[in-house]
Amino acid sequence: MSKRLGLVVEDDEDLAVIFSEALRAAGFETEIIRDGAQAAQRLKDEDAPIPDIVVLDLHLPHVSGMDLLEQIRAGERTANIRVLIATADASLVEMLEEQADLVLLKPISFIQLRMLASRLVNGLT
Amino acid sequence: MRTPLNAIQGYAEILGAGIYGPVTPRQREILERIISNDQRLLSLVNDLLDQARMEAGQLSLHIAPLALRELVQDVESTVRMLAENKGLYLNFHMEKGLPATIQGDRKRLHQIMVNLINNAIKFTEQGGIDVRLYRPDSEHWAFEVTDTGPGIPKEAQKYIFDPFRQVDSSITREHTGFGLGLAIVKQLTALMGGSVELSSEVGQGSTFKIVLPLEPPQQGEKE
Repeated sequence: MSKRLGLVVEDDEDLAVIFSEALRAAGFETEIIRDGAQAAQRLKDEDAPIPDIVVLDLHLPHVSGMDLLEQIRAGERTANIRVLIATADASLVEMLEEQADLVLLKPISFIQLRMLASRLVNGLT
Repeated sequence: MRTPLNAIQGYAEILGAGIYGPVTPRQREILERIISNDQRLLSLVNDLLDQARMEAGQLSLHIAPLALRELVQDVESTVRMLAENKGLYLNFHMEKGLPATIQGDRKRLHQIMVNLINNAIKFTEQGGIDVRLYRPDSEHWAFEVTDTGPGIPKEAQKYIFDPFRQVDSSITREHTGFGLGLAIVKQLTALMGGSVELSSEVGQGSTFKIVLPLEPPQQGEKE
């Protein structure tokens, strides 16, 4: 079986690397995109593989994480992707929980994400 | 502002996980020191940000119903290890008559309680800490943190709640901090419409008492 794919959408370079390494340590292949519009484009691209999990920051250039989440859920190909939201704003958790599979409050540790990413995707199969 | 500090911890955890190669015990010890220093710096930055926000009148509370017992359990799980590592007892007492649910800002109440208990642990070398929650009258609830520490001299009690002041510079060197913990406790409590009271005598330990209204005041617009 080929490796599962994790997409990290996070504009901070360091956090993007740390989230990506956490997914790799959990057995995923990873892609990093640091811009909301590029992420939207990538997710619509029918030639590119569909990620098994998206780790999504809310504050992104051009297209917000909130809008991306809606687009993922609305897209036929993408509706079932596991989406893990990373936010520092505790007041958004309740609202996001309706559409996201998991909402984590920043700071998110490498160890926490590594564990939760595999659980989230394994729970699916 | 906090992102770089979170990144430092993340990178240290990546190295510690050994995914770039095996980690020797000595390297692991150093990585743990990096993480614990990073966490200390993070908590200092958090205190400074809170202090700056309060000075600017920019800190607002998020009042919602919260279960007292859950709050106390959260606080306990945050501070338990610290007390045990110092060999101190730490007892929580919830007295009869307390409502199951109160109106309050969960994050800020947690912060006040943890600040007071951490402080008590920091300055107590023998014995321990008692935390008591009770209802002093029909309109208030209260909690007290009592330690068996060295006690606070009368002169120092006058300024102990001032920001950036610590009792004794020789103590400051040993207990790093900006002396912001108690200042933040006092200001947050005032914001909640409550009061802080300190009773302490040298050699007799200290008790910090916080009294809060069961119905917090509506927050007016601050300047």
